[in-house]
Amino acid sequence: MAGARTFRLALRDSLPVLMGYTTMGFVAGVLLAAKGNVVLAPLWGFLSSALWVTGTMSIAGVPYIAAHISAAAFALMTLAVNFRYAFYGFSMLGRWKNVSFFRKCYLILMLTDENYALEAASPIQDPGEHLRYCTYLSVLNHSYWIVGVTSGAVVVALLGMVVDPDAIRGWTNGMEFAMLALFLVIFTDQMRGFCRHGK
Amino acid sequence: MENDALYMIGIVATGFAVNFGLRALPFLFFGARKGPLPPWVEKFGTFVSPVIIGCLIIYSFAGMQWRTASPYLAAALTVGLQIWRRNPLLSIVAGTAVYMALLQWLRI
Repeated sequence: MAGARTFRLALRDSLPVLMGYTTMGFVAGVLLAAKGNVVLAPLWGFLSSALWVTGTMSIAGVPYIAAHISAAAFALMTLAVNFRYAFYGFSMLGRWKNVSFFRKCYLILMLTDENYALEAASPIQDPGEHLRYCTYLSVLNHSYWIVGVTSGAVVVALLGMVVDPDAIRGWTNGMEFAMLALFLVIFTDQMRGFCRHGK
Repeated sequence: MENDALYMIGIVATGFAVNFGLRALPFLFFGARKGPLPPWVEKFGTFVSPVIIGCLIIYSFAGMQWRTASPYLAAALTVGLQIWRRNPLLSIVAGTAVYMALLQWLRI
C-alpha cells in the first residue's frame, strides 16, 4: 500500500527529530515547570507545546513568562525571535495549493525548523504523496514535541521536591546535536544536488 | 491561582497567534490567487530553502558548546559519513553519539 510506504518513510525521517524534540522538549518542560504548580505546570507545558510548536520561545521565553511579562511585550519578543518562520511557507506555496483549509492550517502550524527542512528537501515528486508525507511527518514530530515538553513539566511538578531534574536530564546531555546533524545532512544532500545540476 | 491561570491562557493565545501568523504570512499573500504563482515567488521558494538551512546550521552551532572542538569534530564526521554512505540516519546517529561522548567523557 502506498500510504503505508509513505508512513514508513515519514517515520524513518522523523527519528532524528524524535531524538531532538523529546530531549529539547523535556528541557523546555523542566524550565516551564520550575516556577509553576502541580496542575498548571503540566497544563501549561501541554498547551504551549501543542499550540506554539516552537523550541526557541518555549526555552528562551521562560524567564520572561516567570516574571509575568505583558502579552504585548511577549508578542513583540516572539515576533523578533521567530521572524524566520515567515519565509518557510514560500517553499510550500506551490505544493500545498489545493489542500483543504483545516489540513493546510495544521501543516502551517507545523512549519517548525526541522519539519520545514525535511518537507522542503523531500525528493517526493508526486503532489498527493508529498502531501501525505508532510501530514504524517507533522503528526509524528508534533507528538514528540508535546510528549517531551509535557513529560518534563509533569516530572518536575510531581517530583521536583524529591529528584533533581538536572540529574534526570544529565545523561541526555548533547543529544540536541541530532538537530544540527539533521540540518547538516539535508544541506549536504542539497549541495550534492546543486553541484549535479550546475554541470 | 486564578490570576496565574488567566495569565497562562493569555500568553498561550498570544504565542499561538504570533507563531501561527508568521508561518501563515506567505499563504495569506499568495494563497488565494487563482492560477500559477508569479515566477519570482516560485524561484524564491526553491532558492530560500538551502539558505534557511545554512542559517539554521550556524544558529544551531551557537546552541552547542561552540567554544570547544566537540561540535566541529562531530559535524565533520556527520558530513563526511553523509557524503560517503548517503545514509541520513547513520550520519545523524553517529555524529550525535560522538558529540555526546566527547561532551560527557572527554570534555574537549
